[in-house]
Amino acid sequence: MAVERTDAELIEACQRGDARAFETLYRRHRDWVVSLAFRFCGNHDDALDVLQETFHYLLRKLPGLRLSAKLTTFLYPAVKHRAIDRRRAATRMTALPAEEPVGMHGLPLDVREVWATLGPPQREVLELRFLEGFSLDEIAATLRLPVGTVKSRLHYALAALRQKIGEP
Amino acid sequence: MDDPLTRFLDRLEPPSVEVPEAVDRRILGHARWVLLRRRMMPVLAVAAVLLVAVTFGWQRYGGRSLQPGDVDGDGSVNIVDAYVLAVRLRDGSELDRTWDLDGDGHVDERDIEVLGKRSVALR
Amino acid sequence: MRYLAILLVCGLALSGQERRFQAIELFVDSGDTPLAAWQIELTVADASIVGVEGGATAPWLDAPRYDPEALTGGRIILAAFTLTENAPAGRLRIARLHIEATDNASERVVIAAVVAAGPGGERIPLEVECLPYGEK
Repeated sequence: MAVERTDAELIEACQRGDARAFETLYRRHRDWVVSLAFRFCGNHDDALDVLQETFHYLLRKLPGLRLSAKLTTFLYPAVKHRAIDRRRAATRMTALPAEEPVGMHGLPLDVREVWATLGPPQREVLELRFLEGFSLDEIAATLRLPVGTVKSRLHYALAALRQKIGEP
Repeated sequence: MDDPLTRFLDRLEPPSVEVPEAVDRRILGHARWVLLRRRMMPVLAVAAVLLVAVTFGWQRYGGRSLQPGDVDGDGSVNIVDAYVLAVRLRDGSELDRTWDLDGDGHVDERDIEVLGKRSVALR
Repeated sequence: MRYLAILLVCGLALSGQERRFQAIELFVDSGDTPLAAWQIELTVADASIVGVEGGATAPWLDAPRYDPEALTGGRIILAAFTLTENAPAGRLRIARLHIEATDNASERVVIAAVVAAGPGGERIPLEVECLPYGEK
């Protein structure tokens, strides 16, 4: 049985010009990227645009890229910022409320209501941990924070969440 | 009893977004082009260098042999080269540095003599 | 005259061999095109080239260029050019070779290579003929 190549191995292959390695990376992470994009921009077409822009970004960054973790850790900020930019451009042009918390699109309404009561730093660590499935180290790498800070934020975030959902 | 927090967190599901095949083709097609270009870059770079060298050499030597003293560029060195050089000197025409065959820094009658000797040399 | 003296000395130095000196005339014909430069390589089997003289008419009166090492051997490259504006065309005697051989060597002269150019430096065809001295 063939051993699946890691993201780092696939990146190295792409750097040698292997288009099939790039396709493997794309297929592996496509749904995650477009789903994350949708959560932040709230629009299907914009999410597809962000998907394309993100993988174009990856192609541009390939030459010097040294992947020490999963590709999702590297791509998360790129997807998020592109999606939020799209969202901001859309709210300037429509009457959507600007204070709607980002990253909530596609989640159940009651979840979104509870989520909206949390502060942004707490929401972010919770999203990365429970929505994206990042490890503590990966959250730390993505947010460029010490692991201790991540642990602390997660602890307080869960405590606040418990309180919001009516737990003692 | 289920932990309410766990139940809440279980409901955190990332939304599912359908990606049309056309979008896949567009992204992967672009990637294939970029990666092919990168793969060809060293080859293209070498080809560009060769092209520049050949073009420069062609312009410099006009497609002639690179033998020292091949003034008329016919691929050989003989008395006609000495003659052509003598005519160019007489007429004040443009002179090529490579025609400085005695290496004294000038192209003059002495180089014609060198060419003459080379033309008739048995070895 | 100097060449004749050399030949005389060489002739006296030889003993017991039936070798004789011969002169071979080199004729060329450039047709209607004036001849500005020429180069001829020739070999003579079983003979030694011992001297070179110039031709019959200007601008080829002076001896052409040649490698001194060719003397005493059977191979030589002769070459000359002129910058004169009125270079003649047609059939011309451009040089005379002095050869030492045991028989009539003129029949064994082989023209190995010929290069000729007109006044503009352009290559032109050139007929070459070697005849014993006195023949035209």
